[in-house]
Amino acid sequence: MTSRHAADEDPGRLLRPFAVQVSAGAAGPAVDLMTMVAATRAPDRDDALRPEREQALTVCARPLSIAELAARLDLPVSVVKRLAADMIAEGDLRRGAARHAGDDADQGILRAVLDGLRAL
Amino acid sequence: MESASFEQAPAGAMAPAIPAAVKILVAGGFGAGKTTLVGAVSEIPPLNTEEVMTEASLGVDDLDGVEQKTTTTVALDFGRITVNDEVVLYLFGTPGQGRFWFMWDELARGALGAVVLADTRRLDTCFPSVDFFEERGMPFVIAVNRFDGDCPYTAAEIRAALDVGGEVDVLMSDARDREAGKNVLITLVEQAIRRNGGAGAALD
Repeated sequence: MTSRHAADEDPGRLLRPFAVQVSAGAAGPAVDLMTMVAATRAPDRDDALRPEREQALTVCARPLSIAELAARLDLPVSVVKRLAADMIAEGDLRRGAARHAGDDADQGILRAVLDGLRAL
Repeated sequence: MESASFEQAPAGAMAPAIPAAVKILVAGGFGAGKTTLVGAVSEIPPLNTEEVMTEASLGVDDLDGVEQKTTTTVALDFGRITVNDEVVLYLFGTPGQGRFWFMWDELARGALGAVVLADTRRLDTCFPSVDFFEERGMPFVIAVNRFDGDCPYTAAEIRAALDVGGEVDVLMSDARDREAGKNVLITLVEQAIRRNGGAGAALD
C-alpha cells in the first residue's frame, strides 16, 4: 500500500491475476462512476468460469451505475471500470448516455430531481 | 464470492431504458454524519466500495512521513434515490479527511451539487469542503447537524463563522431524520436550479 506506481491503474496490483480477468488495453468505451450499465443477456453456463462476469450479468438485469456494480461485486471501482468496459465492448453490457451537470438538458433533470425529492 | 445482489429483476426486464444517473455529494469532517444522512434518505441500505486514488494532484498538502505514497485507497459510501423512470440520483458520502478532497476530481465532476455537514463542536472540520465547492463554483448547502437536539448557534452565526456567500443556504438539520434530509436535498436542488438558470452552467 505504501509504495505504488502512479496513475496507471493496472488491476493486477489490486488482485492476483487469476482473480479477475480483464483486458490490459486502454481501448474500449470510457466509463466512470456514474456510467449506467445494463445486461443485454442472462448469464449462461459458459459464464461460470468467470464468476465476476456472471454476477455482473445477474445484478445488471436492472440498470446500475458503475459505483453500484462495484459495491455489488465487492470489487474496487478501478477494476470494475475495466471489467465493464470489456463487457460493453463484447456486447454483454450496454451503457446509458453520459449525463453531466452543465449539459443543455440540465434544467430538465434538475426539475425532475426536485419533483422526485418532493414526492418522497 | 458471495452474492451482493439485493434485488432480483423481474422476468422479462432485460431491456429497460437505461436511466440517467446524477449525483449529489455529501461532505463534511470525520464523524459529521455523512453516512448517516445518506442512509436516512437512500432507498437502499448504503453501499460501500473502494477506489484507488492517485495523489498526483494533492498539491501543497502536508504529507510528512508518507512522501513515498503515490496512491491511496478511499472508501466510498453511497445511497440511491430513484427519481423516476429516467433519472436515478446517487448520494455519495466522501472521505472524512478534508485533504482527500483534492483527489476527488472524478467524484465532483458533473455533480448537481453538494451538502456540507457541519458539526458545530468542530466547525473547522468542514472548512476544506467549503473551500473546495466555493472554488469550483458548485452549488452547495451547509447543513448543521444537531447531534444532541440543540445547537447553541443560529444559522446566521454559522454563516458568519464560515463566511460563505449569500447564494449558499445554511440550514439546521438532523442527519438521522429522513424528512430533514429530504429538506436539505430539496434546498440544494432549488439553489442549483437558480444558479443554473441565472449565470449559466458553472457546474462542470
